[in-house]
Amino acid sequence: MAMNCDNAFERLLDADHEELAGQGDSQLAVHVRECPRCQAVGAKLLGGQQLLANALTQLVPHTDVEQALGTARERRSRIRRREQFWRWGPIAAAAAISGVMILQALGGTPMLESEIGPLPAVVEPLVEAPAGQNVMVFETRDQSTKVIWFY
Amino acid sequence: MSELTRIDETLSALIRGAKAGEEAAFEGLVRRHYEQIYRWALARTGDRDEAEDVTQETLVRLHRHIGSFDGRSAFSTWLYQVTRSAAADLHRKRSRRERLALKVKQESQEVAIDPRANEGTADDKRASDLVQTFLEKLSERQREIFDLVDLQGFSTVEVSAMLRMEPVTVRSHLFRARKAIRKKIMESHPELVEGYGHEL
Repeated sequence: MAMNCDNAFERLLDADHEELAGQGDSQLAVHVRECPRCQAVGAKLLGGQQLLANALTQLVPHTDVEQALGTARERRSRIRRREQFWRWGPIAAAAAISGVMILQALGGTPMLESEIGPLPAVVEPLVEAPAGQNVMVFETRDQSTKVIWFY
Repeated sequence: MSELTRIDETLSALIRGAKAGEEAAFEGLVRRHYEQIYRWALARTGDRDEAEDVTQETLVRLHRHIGSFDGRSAFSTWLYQVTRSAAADLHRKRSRRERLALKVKQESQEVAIDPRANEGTADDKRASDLVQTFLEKLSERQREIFDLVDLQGFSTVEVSAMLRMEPVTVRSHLFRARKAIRKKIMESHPELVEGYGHEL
């Protein structure tokens, strides 16, 4: 059955480029080649899409590639610094806190002595996790207080 | 040696260098793909400023993940996936920020002025308007598939690999996008539609 213009129009709306240009052996392509009106529609659709393609190509980034590379370098080093902070920061903080506690236990003046009472001469962990797990629990003189160190 | 082979070898060398941590190779790779990344981002977002942000984010991710590119797919396929993922994440963040900004705006009733609004030539403005007019009614997926297949010339099989989608699904999105865009084109040429037993 030969294709009429109404069917062709419907098909032109989702056809491949070759068919819009009347290329190939499909019924639509043959119709487009033979019908000036559908040929005009096909050409207009191709032209419209080409216009859109040109517009998209014309729109280049405002930011020059060298500038973008510079910004990316800065962002990368910020991210690296942040990652390093989160990798070493908690360990350093825990080490500092335990250092202060040990120093106080070895003869320094405990800042909170009035509240927690004198500290023992040597701080021993109450519970120490097996190797590979990084937590220790210390007991203080104050029975209601335990120090849990994640390191 | 053919031009195409030489291009492929240059690209392979850049990828190898970038994977080995050579900054110059990484930068070469970026210079080569910068506009392509932006174009993908623009087609996906439909917004120039958002596309710039997506491009920037993609460069950072490219540097971070280039080591994981194993060459099983084409580099452009892999890079497209990095760009898409950056676009999706930024879109999510932006939606959250916009909701907050809208709230603040409603409270203060101040209109923000985009510093880039007056930049660019009249041609740029026309192109930008044209892109927006044609693409705004499409879904993100339709936009990107239409751009990749019809405007950039990737095959539906290539696009299905890029988007990790069945080719039949790609074609279905493509047909819907074509229909919407072509109806829009025909709307500005009513004289051509006259006489057809069809309404737009």
